[in-house]
Amino acid sequence: MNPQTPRIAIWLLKQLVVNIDHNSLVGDFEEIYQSRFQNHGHVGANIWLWGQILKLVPSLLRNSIYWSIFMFANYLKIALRNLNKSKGYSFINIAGLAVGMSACILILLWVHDELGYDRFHKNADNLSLVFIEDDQYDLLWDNTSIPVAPALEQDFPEVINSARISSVVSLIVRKDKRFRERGAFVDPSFLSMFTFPFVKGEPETAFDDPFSIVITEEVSQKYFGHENPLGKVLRIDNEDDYRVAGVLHNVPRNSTIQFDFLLPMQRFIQQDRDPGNWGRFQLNTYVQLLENTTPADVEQKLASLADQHLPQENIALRLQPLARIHLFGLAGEGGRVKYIYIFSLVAIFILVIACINFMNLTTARSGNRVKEVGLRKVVGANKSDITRQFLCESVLLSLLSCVLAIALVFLLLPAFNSLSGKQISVDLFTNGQLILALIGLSLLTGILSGSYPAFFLASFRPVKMLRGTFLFSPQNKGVDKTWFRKILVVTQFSLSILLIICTAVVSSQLEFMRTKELGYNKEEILWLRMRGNLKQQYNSFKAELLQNPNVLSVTATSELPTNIAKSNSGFDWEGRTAEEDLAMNRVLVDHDFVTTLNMEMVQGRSFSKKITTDASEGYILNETAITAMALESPVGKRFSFNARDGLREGTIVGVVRDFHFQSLRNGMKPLTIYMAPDECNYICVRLRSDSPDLPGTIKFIEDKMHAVVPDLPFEYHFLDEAFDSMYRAEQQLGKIFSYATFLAILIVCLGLLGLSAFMAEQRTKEIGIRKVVGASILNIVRLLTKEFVILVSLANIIAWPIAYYAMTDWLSSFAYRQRIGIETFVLAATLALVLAFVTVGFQATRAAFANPVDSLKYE
Amino acid sequence: MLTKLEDQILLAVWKFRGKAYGVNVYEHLENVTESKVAVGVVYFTLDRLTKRGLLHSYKGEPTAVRGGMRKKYYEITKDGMATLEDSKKIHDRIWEDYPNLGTIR
Repeated sequence: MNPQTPRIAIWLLKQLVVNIDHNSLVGDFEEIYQSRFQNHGHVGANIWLWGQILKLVPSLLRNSIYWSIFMFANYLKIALRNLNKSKGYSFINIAGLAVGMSACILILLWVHDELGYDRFHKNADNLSLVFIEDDQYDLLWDNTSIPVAPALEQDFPEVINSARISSVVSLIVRKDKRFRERGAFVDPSFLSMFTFPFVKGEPETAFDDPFSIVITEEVSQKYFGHENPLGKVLRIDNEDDYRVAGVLHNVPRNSTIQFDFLLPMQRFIQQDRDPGNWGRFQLNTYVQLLENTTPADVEQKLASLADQHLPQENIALRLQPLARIHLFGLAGEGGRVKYIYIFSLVAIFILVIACINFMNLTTARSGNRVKEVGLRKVVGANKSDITRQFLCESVLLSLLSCVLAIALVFLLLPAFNSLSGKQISVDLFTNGQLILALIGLSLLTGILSGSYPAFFLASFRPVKMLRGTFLFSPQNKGVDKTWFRKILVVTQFSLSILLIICTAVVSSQLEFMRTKELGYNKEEILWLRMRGNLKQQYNSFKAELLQNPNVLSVTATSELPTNIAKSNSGFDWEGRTAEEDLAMNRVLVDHDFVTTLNMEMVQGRSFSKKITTDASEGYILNETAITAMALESPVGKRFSFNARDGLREGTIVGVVRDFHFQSLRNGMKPLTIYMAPDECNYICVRLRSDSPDLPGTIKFIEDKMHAVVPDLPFEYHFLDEAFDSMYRAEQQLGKIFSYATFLAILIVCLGLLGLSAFMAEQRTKEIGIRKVVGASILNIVRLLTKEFVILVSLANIIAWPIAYYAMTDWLSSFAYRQRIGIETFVLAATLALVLAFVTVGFQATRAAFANPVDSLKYE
Repeated sequence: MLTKLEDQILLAVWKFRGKAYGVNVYEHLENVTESKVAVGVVYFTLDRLTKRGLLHSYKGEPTAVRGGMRKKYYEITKDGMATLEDSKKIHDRIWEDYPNLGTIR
């Protein structure tokens, strides 16, 4: 039995020795090993074998390191010479890549910021929001009631902590400083569950006193300047004095929970009129689950809790992890995640377009490098050496571009922040992750864009290259290697056309939503919040306002007509069968709601002051509600609503024409309008549209308001602003799309400019001869532009169905949408064709006008 | 011109008369020079000499003791012989005047 030679040693040997026939070498080693084994034993043989292998290492290492450094220095030198030699192309290459990369970096920063929402909490993975799913009406609520949190903590061992949060906007006063601030009532456990670190004060004892307040640094600065705020007093809503018990760092912008001050939950519960009621959904409940417990596990058990306490309602308590709320909303759909995908895709598109530019220009111009490569091969370069050289070159270029791109990013960041409504900052020197990402991005770009030219050039046979039979131009039909470049150009244009179409569709949808006939007039309406004594003195306040000739009409409403979200069941109407049930949105108003908002009554009448029963019994429904209830002649029919605080019986007095009371994403829903001035939160004022003195009118309203509530700051808004803010995400999408499209087109045109200049240069002699023989300038221009026009047309054909599919999908989330017309496609096609034609035509004309004597005199 | 190592290896191959291969050349070298030689060096030199046409190689039969691998035998070619002859002449001429080195004064 022969001893086994260590396999690993043999393997190493094969790795280390490259140029020798492995078979006989390994055989020889085995033989010597065997004889050593006979003479010196196991140990002796092994020492010999490993000794031999070790001896091989240093020389090989020395060799490879020396040569790689030497060759790299050479590559660098040649690369820089080439850059210098053709400054124009180098500029196009580097600028195109830099612009593409900076766009990509900006978008990736945005994506990173979005993905980082709520991640700063130490317990981020274990925190969940409790929300309510109403199976019957397919509704989701993020609000729960006061008793939910204690019950969860008590009944479920998986829930180790819980916190209730009730947002509030309050007037905070200290001496002459009075501002309205966003705040929240929270449980003491809030401070330990979430990571909002204290600057001053003790988190454990902060809320021991029910009249303590915790403020952020910003608020502290505002009210106390450089004083120490601890122990000082702030008066809230002109009622109670609270003592400052702590100062928090400002809440990070990428937090879902936003506040400027915190008050103890205890106070909220004291002020509530029915704190034990499970059905009063009014605050957010967060729970902290045990490590390794998934929300899904707990959710199953939660079902019993809802059934036990709210048996009459068909609802379920559910959990959504905090870290997912921003991206996925409550139910896993909607949310921002769609936009993250879209923007990431756009970033990739732009980068790909820039990379293709680079590939195209490099391969096109590689004709000029053929002799160099040939010589390198003759002197002994392998395919892999050439590949490495060109990859090095492209990585070098992409690193250069990256540096330029970073400069651009710094330059553009403020503009980008105002565009996206974020405050992204780039701290290049302390953010290791970012630096790694940037290096990764440039390596990726370099390798991606250098790969094709590198392999392309490395694959030629040196003899052909040096003899000069290697021709790299389109007129040489025999070796038409340009097909790949054509594919790349088509890809570029397809992506650009895709972006153009998307931009056109998004902006036309935005325009459509902005100008859509809503069923009411949202212009010239000023609104205020109904606060403090305004509610009690509403009628006299309204009368005062109407004295001004520029105020046409005033109404009170529970929700702004741009977004009436409140939805209920419990409606009853004449002729309803037992199993019929209808969820309707409802809005509570005063007499003048319909007239103030210029709505149109289809049947019946609006509420009237002359008919006293209207205030307690009148109902106005919209057309959709009538259709849903299948009422033949609705006016005068009995109608009632069973609210939580009692049954309201009445009759239908009128039917209003359907108006869009929600975002146009949603379809038309049934709506009930009835009067309940006590529950109104907003005052809407219709101003005269040709009002000569708008500032004066606003000042008038301010004075009248301060006569009623002198302590409250005067804050007014216009209804069309509220309307626009509903489509902020779409507007952002539209803007980013248009900038991305602009950049993409810019980069593509840059690339095309370089490519066509090169091709015209290649065909200088051909053009010269053609002209001598009698071709007109038009003939020449046509010759040079024909190919690009064909490519762009092809790109159109590819991009259209993709764009159509993608935009149909996007539009499907809107109940009211613009159809995608053929003109959008024609527009995109025309734009792309014109741009391509202008870019190429510029070069072609220049080439065509050249004097043939100049181009032919060297023959 | 041959280097000293090439000289020695060419001679070793000639000495084994068509039966030279990695192992015996290597062992012979160790015996003659009385010093440790890296095996790798032998292979690279054999390879180089073959490429220069001074040696000719052919495959032998696989044997069990070699883990089933074939031997690669080396033979000296005519060119090789001529070079070796030249080398000897040069060698002799260099050493001609110094038949006895004597002792260092």
